[in-house]
Amino acid sequence: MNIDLSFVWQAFLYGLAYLPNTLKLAFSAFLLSLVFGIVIAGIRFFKVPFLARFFALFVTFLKGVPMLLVMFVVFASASRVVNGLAALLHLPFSAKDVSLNAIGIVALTIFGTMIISETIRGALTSVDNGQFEAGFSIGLTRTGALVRIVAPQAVIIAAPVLCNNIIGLIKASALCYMVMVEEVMSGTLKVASSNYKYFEAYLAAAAIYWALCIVIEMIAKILRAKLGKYRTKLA
Amino acid sequence: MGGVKVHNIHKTFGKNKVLHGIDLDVEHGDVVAVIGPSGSGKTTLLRCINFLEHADKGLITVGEQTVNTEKASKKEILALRRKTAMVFQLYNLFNKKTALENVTEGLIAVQKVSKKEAEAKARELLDSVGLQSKYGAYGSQLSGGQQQRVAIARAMALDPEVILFDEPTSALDPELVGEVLSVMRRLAKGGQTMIVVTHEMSFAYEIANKVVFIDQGLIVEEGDPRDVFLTPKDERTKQFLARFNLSSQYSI
Ligand SMILES: Nc1ncnc2c1ncn2[C@@H]1O[C@H](COP(=O)(O)OP(=O)(O)O)[C@@H](O)[C@H]1O
Ligand SMILES: [Mg+2]
Repeated sequence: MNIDLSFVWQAFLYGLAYLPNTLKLAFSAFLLSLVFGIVIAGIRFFKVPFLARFFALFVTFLKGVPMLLVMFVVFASASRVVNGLAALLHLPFSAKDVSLNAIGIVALTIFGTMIISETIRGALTSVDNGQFEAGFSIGLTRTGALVRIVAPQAVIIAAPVLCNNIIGLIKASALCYMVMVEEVMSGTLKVASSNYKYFEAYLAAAAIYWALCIVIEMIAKILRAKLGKYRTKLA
Repeated sequence: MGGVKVHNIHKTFGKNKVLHGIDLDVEHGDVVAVIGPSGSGKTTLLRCINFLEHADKGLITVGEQTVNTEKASKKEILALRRKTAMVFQLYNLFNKKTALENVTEGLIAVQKVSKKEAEAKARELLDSVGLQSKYGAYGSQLSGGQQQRVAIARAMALDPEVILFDEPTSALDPELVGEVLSVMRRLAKGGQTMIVVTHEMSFAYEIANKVVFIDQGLIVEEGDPRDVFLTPKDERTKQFLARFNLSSQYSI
């Protein structure tokens, strides 16, 4: 089998042009997932009646569903949901105004929220309950003890895992190609559609994702080293 | 006025009935030693007083405030907690905070004292427990005895009506017990109201105004340390104290 290296390079450069959109998809989804994930983790950690059970079910359900299926379901139901909502609220927009990017971000956010809520909840539970109790014993409220004592410790535990979650979202963002979002995956494959050199295109796409993940791993490593230094100061 | 009153406290964990109606009266300035076998409910009693455990039934009075545990609101619980402080068996210093920050935390976050004032007070307190050179140290850089002294300074910072001690020396290496007890001794002499769960019988004998012996969730015997330690009346108290061989230390 001959590999057309110059075409790999060509596809690489072509795909690279779509890198900003891949980053936009992954990081928008990450930030939204972080917000929702923190809220859901908080609700489950404090066992808020009804809501805690609801979100436990939500997480369990999503864990058992392939990401691709979430993507297709969001894509297939988007126009109906958006049109329905617009009609219900008498708002002047319709499914035509919704970009494919938005659909990709919603699907990735659903997936990311499930993962990141588990990261945050895990970090919160791994902080010794004695820290909460010491906080209560000096008269802090539950929120006060969470914000001032427990959360700063949970952040240190969660940070490296969140870096892995970002990498997961970047890789998952390639699935957006299946619903016609233009990103690195679809970009590299597009150049191959004229000469059918898909193998070269796949190689190019892999190289881009690989490089991106290495950069993030490097940032994570620096972060870990910094936090590690901090951690040695802990009891 | 002041002090702590506990009336008819009941506490059950699942099917395990741990406290069967405890009454305890602590005058302002009193030091009460709580003794008893392991598993008898001593820790649970202390934790019920500041609502780290929510008692099923009973009244708790700290200072001027009485709370009915059956219908305690969050606000009441918070107010009660702000009149008490606790020293834990395993210190429970705030991780990620220095000795100084451990002491200032309550002053700044709860009592809304300015940072400058809080730090001045914290330094004074750390000095008073013999840690003048450890302001910036984290828990991992301190010995158990030093950590527990930080924890005591943290409790003292809030000027609580009562400080609750749960076996404050039982996690320490024997050679570190003395430094913690001497800090507590000074605190007691200074008129701080204290409830101390302890296995240090000679210490209890020396500093307590009152000793309470708990067995299986009930107060079996209480009174002046001399009476309880030297002439215990109840058979269970006698058996428990026999293990500590106190009479040989204190008779004559
Ligand atoms: N959080 C808890 N959940 C369930 N059981 C508990 C809990 N805390 C204490 N207990 C039980 O209550 C009893 C008394 O415990 P404790 O108050 O710690 O005794 P002591 O401090 O006198 O050794 C024990 O049987 C213990 O297992
Ligand atoms: Mg105990």
